Amino acid sequence: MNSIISIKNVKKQYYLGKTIVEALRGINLEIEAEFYCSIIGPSGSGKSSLLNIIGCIDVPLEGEVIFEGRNLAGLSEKELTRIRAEKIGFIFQNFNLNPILTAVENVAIPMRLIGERKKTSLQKASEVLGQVRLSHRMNHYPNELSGGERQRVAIARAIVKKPSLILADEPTGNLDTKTGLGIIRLLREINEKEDTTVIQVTHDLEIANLSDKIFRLRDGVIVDR
Amino acid sequence: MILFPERVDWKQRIVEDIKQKYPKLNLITDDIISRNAEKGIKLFEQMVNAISVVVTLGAAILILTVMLITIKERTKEIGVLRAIGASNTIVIKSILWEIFILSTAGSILGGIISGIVLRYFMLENLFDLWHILKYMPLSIVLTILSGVIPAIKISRILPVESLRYE
Repeated sequence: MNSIISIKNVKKQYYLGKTIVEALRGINLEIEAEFYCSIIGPSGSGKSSLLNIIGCIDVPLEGEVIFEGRNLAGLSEKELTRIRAEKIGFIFQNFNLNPILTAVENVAIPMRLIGERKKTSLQKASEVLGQVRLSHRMNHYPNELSGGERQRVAIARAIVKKPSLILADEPTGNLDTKTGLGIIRLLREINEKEDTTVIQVTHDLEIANLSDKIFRLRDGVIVDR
Repeated sequence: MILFPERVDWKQRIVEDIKQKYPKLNLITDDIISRNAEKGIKLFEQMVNAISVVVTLGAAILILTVMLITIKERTKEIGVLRAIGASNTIVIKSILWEIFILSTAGSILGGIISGIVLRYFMLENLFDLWHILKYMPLSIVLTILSGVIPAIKISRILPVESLRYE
């Protein structure tokens, strides 16, 4: 099988006031296409930093990130934006839905960003909301939805453009165990049916154990895979 | 003492006679009065214009500050948009488009309110539609210009930094 992401010696530093924090200290990993992977580790281990670099929303200090055969290091912000718009779907812990838009309008945003017409985008968004079993809540605003429903809207927003990679940062972090497991089953289903690679960050071992592969991070390095 | 000549063309002659006989007398004619009044009106107009410029500049600074705060408060929302694929251009365009809609609505509402005030709440009817319409585009342009700097500034923040913003 082909690898969708190949990471070589990636390092990342942050400034916390005047202190330098080494978030990633030379990460090497390869993720096969269509796999369901989990990155686990304690808080501050660099999980989210790694996910942000894979998702082209942050840049490494050193090292190489190869996404579908393209080295991201040499790409301009415009090209990185295009990759994010077409190839990557993001799911956040806090859902990050737009409160003034309905569920279907939220899901339609990525389609509009890749230049689809409003009518087509809304049509596609309503189909995908059906896929995540939320057809009946299509015209509801985020504050009228439960946590699990909001996350399903966020999942629909991530998959509407049929990305090759879904990145989920603690997707069950704000949900109870039962709802969280439901969300992971849904992501797993998408991974199997749509052949989409899923990389999730979690600190919940039960959830991580449902993945094909687990990468364990500690202090910015992979200690187990 | 006030003199009213029987005929208007006598005025100049009377003035000259008085000046000749009583050179130390302080003589004021209606020409001088109207010239002074004109001067006063011009001075008043200049003052009003100066005040308008100061008020407009103040308003522009106020709008710029409000824009900076409002847009900064939406950093996270913009970060989410950037993460899901919105380009810098889309972010700037959508912010400016929103400002355009708001400033147009504000100008229309302001125009209606000032029209009502000028028509019904002043001693004289000072309502002048053309005067109101002429300032509407100025206020819209001024508001949009005030939004350009914050929009560009926020679009340049890395998506990851915007997402961390609380």
